[in-house]
Amino acid sequence: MSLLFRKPTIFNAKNVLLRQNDVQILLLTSKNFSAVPTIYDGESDPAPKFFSSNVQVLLKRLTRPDFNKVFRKRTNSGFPVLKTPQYKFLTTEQLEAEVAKSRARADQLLQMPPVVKVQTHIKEVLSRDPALIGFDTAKYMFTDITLGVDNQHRIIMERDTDGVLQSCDPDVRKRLNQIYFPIKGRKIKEPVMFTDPERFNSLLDREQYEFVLDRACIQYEPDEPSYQKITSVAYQHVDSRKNYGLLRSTRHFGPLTFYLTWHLSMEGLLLELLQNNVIREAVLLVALRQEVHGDVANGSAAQGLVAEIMNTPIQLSKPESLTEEDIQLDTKCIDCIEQYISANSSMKSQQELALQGFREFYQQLIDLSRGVRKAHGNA
Amino acid sequence: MAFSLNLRSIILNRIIRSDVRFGFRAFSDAADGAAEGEEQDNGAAVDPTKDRTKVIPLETSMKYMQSKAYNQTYGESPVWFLYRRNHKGGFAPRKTRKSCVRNGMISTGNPCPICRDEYLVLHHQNTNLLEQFISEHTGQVLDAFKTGLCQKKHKELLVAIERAWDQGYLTYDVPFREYDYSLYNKNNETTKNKV
Ligand SMILES: [Zn+2]
Repeated sequence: MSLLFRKPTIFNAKNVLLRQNDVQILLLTSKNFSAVPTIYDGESDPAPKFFSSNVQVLLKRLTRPDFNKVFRKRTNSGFPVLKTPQYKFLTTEQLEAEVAKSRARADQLLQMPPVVKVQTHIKEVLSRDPALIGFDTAKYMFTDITLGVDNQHRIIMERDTDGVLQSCDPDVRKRLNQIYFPIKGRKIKEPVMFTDPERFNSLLDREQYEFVLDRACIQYEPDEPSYQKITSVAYQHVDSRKNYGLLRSTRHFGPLTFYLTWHLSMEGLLLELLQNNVIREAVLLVALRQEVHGDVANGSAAQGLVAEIMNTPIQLSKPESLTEEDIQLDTKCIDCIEQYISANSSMKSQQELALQGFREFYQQLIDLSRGVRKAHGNA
Repeated sequence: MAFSLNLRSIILNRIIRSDVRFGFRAFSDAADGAAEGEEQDNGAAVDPTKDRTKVIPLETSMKYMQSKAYNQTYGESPVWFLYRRNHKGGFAPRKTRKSCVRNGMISTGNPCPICRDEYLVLHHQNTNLLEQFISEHTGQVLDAFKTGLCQKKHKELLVAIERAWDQGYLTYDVPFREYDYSLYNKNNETTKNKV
């Protein structure tokens, strides 16, 4: 795990100046926020954990997809004229088919950007030809433009002026790939909003997280150091301001949660879940930590609850009435979270307070729904 | 005799002066102080509402966009909303005029929405103004045919918007990128064709 990571705290100016030498591009400081960009480096590789089906399922559920937000009006179709909407009468079966279609489309739109280890570049020398020294004053680049080969595996070689034929740097590769097989929206020159810390900081302060992360996805590859630095700073900003709601039902919530869990700083997110009375997702978060680190005291209990929670529908709003099964499940969840807080949490007092608040809210809800059922005469 | 001599010298003087003035300005739009002073010497009064030689700072323009005066003039609608082009016939020409400003003066009776209000400055930080020229439905820059901007200002607008997008002053919906997980999930890959 990266040792660079530090919880967002207030550095003094001297500290910042000292650190600025260590970190190449971005060290962001503003009145109440400063973050040290981190990358997924070191021994452990996050990719196997991230791509494992258990973690994927948990992350997707924690995203809490709200179709109103997933299918919000977007202006990125690229057409100068919009398509006219169609209105149709449908039978129930046809309607179900359409709903299934839009679910699949939502899954596609919510595909999480992969979380992988930062790339390491090994220079591979194919041949050294001293006879070519001084042949030309410029390098020669060779790109295999066969169709059907992905950008990562494309053969791109450079012939240096000193006659060495070798593989080239990642950014040269990226540029050539972009020239021959352009990705829509990617610029050959890095956008100023990423290179200038002041502009980047102002975007974060304006809470345009989705724009920043979307654009980072387009501009960089997931295994590039600059991508991981930019996203890590954005995630830390979200965490420090508790703006999780802004990224929910976007494709970036999964990587955000994964990032926080990976660096063991998901207490803020857990607190937010408790304060918003979504106890089941809090359990899922604990289970996620167990999957990633395996250091939760009652981890197996949480993992056991996951299957039960997955069967229940997503809670987009506050529940209005509860069935007995709901009550049983939620009671188990409360126990699970209580044990987690007492054993593992680093934000005990606040989380306990939030849990207490939830208990009171939940007791009221139980009384209400039982009372309603009694009044209807089927209790 | 003396009178006619005097008249001749005046006329000659005028011709030379005007020559100098045209020579000066044929190559530059922004008239400088010397030319302006000369004009006042000649007695031709400069209409302050038509003078575009003064450079309005960006801060003033941004303040103006928030001000009561702006609201009174334009209300909630974009600055180009009530503008109508003058043209003969039933159909407006596809292209708008090249420029509304010549020799540092408004040279037309119906200047375009940006030229007519000197406090509207096209700059990448002036996002309140730039937003009005981006379609909320398609996210693209509105055509000059719709907004009525002269070609010169329209070009400036395109540059300012591109800068604003690049520097993050304006946000937009980024094209969607679909990832091929099999490229990143190395462990799952059984047939890895290394090249
Ligand atoms: Zn004009």
